[in-house]
Amino acid sequence: MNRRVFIVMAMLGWGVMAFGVLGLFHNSARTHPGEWVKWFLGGALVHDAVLAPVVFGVALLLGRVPRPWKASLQGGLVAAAVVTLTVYPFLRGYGRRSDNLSVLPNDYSSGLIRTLAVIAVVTAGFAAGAWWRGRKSGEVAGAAAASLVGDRRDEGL
Amino acid sequence: MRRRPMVRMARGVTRLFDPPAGARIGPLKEGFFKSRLHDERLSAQLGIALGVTFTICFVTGLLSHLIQYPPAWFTWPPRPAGLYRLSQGVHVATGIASIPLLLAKLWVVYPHFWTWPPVRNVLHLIERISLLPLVGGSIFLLFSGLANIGLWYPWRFFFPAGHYSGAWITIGALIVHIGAKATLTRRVLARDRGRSEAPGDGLSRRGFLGVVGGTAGLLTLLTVGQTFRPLNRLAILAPRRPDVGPQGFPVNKSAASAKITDDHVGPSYRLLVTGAVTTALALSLDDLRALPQHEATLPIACVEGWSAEASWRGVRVAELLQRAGAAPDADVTVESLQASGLYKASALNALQARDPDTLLALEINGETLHIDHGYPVRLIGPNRPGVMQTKWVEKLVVS
Repeated sequence: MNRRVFIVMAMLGWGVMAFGVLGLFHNSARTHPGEWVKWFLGGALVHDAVLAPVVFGVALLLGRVPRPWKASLQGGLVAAAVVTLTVYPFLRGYGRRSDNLSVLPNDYSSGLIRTLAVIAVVTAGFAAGAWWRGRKSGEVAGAAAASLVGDRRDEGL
Repeated sequence: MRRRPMVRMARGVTRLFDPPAGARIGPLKEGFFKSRLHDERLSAQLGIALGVTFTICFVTGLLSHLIQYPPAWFTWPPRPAGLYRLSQGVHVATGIASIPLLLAKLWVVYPHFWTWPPVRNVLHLIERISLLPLVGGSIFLLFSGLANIGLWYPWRFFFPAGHYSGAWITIGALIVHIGAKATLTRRVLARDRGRSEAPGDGLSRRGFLGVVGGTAGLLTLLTVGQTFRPLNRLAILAPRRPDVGPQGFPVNKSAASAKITDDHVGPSYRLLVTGAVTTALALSLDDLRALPQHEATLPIACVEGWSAEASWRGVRVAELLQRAGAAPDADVTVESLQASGLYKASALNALQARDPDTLLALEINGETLHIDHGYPVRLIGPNRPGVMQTKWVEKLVVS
């Protein structure tokens, strides 16, 4: 850290944050600061206390997947999980209303299934590619490489 | 005597910077996190990407705020007609694409949460405290924005006001973070250029970047069609479709939710032009139809990031102002029949009011307006947010 750069940027940044907080209280009839702060900090809490441990749990389980499939499976699961998380509010139809059919007009479960299918196909393609490359380079080369890197298995964490 | 608490506090702070080694357990231990993805270079790359996307969102969001609540120094022009559609489409699309970037960044840097010692000195303490508004704020902005485009409001605050304050606080925290990491980022990116992958059998650094970029691209591809016409058919995950709604056109606020009834829009309906005018006007729907009609092809560009274009037909606002004898530089407030709601009125600055395409529309695509689209009369003008295209217009107040 460059101390001088940090001190200048920290003063500027905290100034900008103070402006945001002032606006929050100045406009409290609309922002409801007490309610707002729960949502503002709640996201970090949910991420650190729920989402991150779940992801680490899944990552640990993936540690046992054999080498040629592992990277592809990890990538596919990341993509699938992020897409599902993003579409989830639409899928549940939280914003739907009987007087306005133009809100959330799509069939999101079908859309999500089709998207996950595409991700699954791409994942399988990458896994097959990795398996094929592994076969071509042969077991001997693979073993040599493994001994070179001390057969360091990625624990996934 | 009075110095004692200070001394005690100073001792406490020192202890904070030099905690007992026995407290270093679990994830606090060196080497607890083994994935090669907890990597400085990856963190720097994702950080730069997020810095760019958050800046884009902040600037476009601030612009949208200024347009809706213009201070004295800000005049939003009516041209180019599609500029707001573009800037707000970019705001929402960039926000959606930031979701995978942010989650990836949080995963990569997660071990730093358990850094040892937890604080090294005062500057490090300030840096770490600033991470709470940065992480909380980033998640808050993306989550609340995503909920808003699906018209989901699980909280009690007014979304635009809460999102706006959150944006300033998050950007402030981002400035602090850039101050803390700029030197390291530059060093890491220069040092590690073309570096080979660390050993391991899981996802590689490049593979992970590919997955994150691919996911951002996929989400964009499957949602951006809500405003970008060529990808309309691919918008299977978008919260809106430009061709779904009454008369094949989306609606944000229905007549029922605005409490507009047939009584409001029956034969007794009159459009009033009042305020700073020489001749106040009160025009029936037939009077309006008898005036010269003009056609304009303009989008409704919603703050929620969708847009749809239609051909509108009606009376020029400029023509009504001229008939009422309003000054050529007068501003106009357009008021709705809607009894309540923050969007029951909108402002037209002098430039917007005089634009030949700013209409009080009676028809959409050759049909009389559906009541959900603002029958009998709605405002439509170029380069305006959808919430300012006031429906069920009752009054033009000249000032």
